[in-house]
Amino acid sequence: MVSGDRPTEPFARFEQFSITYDTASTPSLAGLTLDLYGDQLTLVTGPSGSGKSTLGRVVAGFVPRLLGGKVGGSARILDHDVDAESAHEITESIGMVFDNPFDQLTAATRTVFDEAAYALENEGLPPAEIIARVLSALESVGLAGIAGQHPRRLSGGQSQRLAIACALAQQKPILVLDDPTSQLDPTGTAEVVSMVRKLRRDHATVVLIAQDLSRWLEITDRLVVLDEGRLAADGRPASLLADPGPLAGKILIPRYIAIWAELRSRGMGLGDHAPRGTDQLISSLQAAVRVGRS
Amino acid sequence: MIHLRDVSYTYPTGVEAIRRLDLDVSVGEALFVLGHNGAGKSTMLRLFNGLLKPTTGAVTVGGANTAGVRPAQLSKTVGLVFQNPDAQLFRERVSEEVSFGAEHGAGSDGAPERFERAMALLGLERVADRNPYDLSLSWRKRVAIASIVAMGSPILVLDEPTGGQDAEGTRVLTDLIMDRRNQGHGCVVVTHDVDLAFDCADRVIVLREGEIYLEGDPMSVLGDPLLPEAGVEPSTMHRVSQGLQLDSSVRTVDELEEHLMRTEEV
Repeated sequence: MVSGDRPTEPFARFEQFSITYDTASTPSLAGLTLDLYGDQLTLVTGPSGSGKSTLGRVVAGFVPRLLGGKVGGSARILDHDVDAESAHEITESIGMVFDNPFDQLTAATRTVFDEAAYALENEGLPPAEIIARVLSALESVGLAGIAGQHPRRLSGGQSQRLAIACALAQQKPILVLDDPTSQLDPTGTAEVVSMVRKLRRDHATVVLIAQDLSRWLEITDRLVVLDEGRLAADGRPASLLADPGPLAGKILIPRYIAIWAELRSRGMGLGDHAPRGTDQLISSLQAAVRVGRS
Repeated sequence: MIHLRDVSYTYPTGVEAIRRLDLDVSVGEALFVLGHNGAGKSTMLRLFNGLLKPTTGAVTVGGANTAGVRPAQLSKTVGLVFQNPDAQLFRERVSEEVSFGAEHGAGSDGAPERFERAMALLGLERVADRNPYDLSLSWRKRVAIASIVAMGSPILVLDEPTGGQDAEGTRVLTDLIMDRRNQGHGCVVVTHDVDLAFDCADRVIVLREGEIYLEGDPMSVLGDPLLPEAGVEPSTMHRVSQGLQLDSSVRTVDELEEHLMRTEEV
């Protein structure tokens, strides 16, 4: 739902939004105008220093209220002005998960269940509600079976899924995931991708920040490319990446798209939609061969 | 240059990370090491430069048994860059960090030449005067690699060099590996990036539970049906070849195109 058929109002509205951190001389976001919509997975990418993590932190309410910074233009998240209102209004509705799950877990709890229950207990919720919410969140990320295990015994992928479960248990309807698989091996990455795919089937709203797009495109509704704090490209991944050349210096073009684009440029009839995974590349090559034969 | 003979390593916690490993690494080859987390990759790298000494068996580097040599001495032969650059950055300017490596290394050419070359190879000229800790993690990693490259050690060991790198960083690091390969210097690269291994490796080993599970040239290893057992996916080209049921795996887009044309004509 990149254009035309938007069913809802945007949950985030950036208008000519700029932010310069107190310790920085140049802005991290510079005149960004962008709307983000619910019930989508928006994948934000761009070079190192392009402002993509800052965008995630603004959406999650961390910037400017908690981490500081000088603001220009406006950004409204769930109808709260990020510069004028307290961060709490935003952070209570938006869950943020960082690249290193071990930084995020409390290290103060002794079971997976207690870890996911930690914030709810601090809120003083009734025990029955805590149990129901935590079990449902652990179920969503596929950890219900090991609720009694010690958090330190989890693999990287499991720890990252637990960090996401903590946000789900707090019933935060919007998730910001900042490079959630960059520290995981392929097995852990596959676990997290398949968990996010499942959350999307339940219509979760996800803002995903990532450098390596290859495993995410298949479940990406909208791709946003930032460069030097500005919007460099925005659209559905299959159309945006159909001509990957102009973006090649800014984003890591997945190998399956590079192969597809090269064969297409040599005149092979592969259509106008870039594949969003190796399996799609294979199907589109098989289809081209069938057409070539007939 | 590096020889492991029947090497095992057991951590004080009792975890047996490396089991009876035999391996020879020669100068000039690009050796890629794959395997899931916990397969023993990082432990193996630490055995290469003497940070860890084998529990049993012997590791020799340039003819010397690592058991009796200090890691600082071995670093002139084996330059190891950790996955986390912050473990080794301690100067206030990028240029000083890289100079430090150049001055404490060895090689046929002088320190100033090695410094210039490392700065250029890693594309660091425009951040030469910055404090490494004002740069992002991916840039700090490039600085850490440049500092080790500047030492001029015959064997360069990189742990996850492209992890977290953007398009430019990935290109710079791929070029560095290919440059070393073309110059006959070679390197050992631990990575999860199977396509990087496909592009750059002379030889691939896949570790599983501390043992060498698969070994060979990238075309044979990276499409091996046993690969998933070790938690490693085939390369994209191998997956495409297998998906199209080609009788042999293709290596380049040219070969793929040729195969597809032939299929069309059947």
